[in-house]
Amino acid sequence: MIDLLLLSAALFFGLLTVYSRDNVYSAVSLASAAGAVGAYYAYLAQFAPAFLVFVIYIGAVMLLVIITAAMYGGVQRWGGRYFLAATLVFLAAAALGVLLWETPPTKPTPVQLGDLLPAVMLLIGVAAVSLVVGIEVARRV
Amino acid sequence: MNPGVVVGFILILLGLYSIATTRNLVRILIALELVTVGAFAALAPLASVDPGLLFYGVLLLVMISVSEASILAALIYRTYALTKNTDISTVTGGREV
Repeated sequence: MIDLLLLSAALFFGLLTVYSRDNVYSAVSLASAAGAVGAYYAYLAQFAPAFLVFVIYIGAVMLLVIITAAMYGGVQRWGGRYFLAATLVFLAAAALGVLLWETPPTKPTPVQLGDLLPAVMLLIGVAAVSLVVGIEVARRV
Repeated sequence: MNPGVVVGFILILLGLYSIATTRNLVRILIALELVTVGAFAALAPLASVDPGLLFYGVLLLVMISVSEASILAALIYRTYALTKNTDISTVTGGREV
């Protein structure tokens, strides 16, 4: 059930990639499709390929694609909105990190989810990079 | 037939369609990466056969996509820096530097 849901999400974002008019929306939905495929790998319990897809592919290649799409047309018209969204994501990630940092480890949960702190730190880093890109793009307008 | 193969095949066809119909270099880069995502999805059923082979397949696809994305990004940068345009017909414009 979950695998079909993830695959249909990948298909939906792939369709959105081809048929959206704006380059930045297209690149962001492409990253979402790649994330859905990576989640499908994680659902199949293939964690090393899922790590490759999430960290290397989305973190490096998709960042390059999104920044390229943002630099050469598209996001300039919505620099303020992009800056606002990046600020909100950064603040939410920072709040999540503070929450996880301050919460003392209480009773062990029945399902061991692993240590979430490195993933949240990675999220904060990506959000900070996005914030810097947003500032640079908004200054150019 | 495995749903991963079907979805991957559809994504690859969508990417090829987008490459064939667009005139913007940035959209060509995006569509090429969509083809790579489709190849990821089509590779997923290998997990039930040989997970080690799946890991190396994904690693190979990631390396290929890094190189092709950097080549296309450099082409887009060069075209935009010389002609202030990203239309595909301006690739021949500009000058040798």
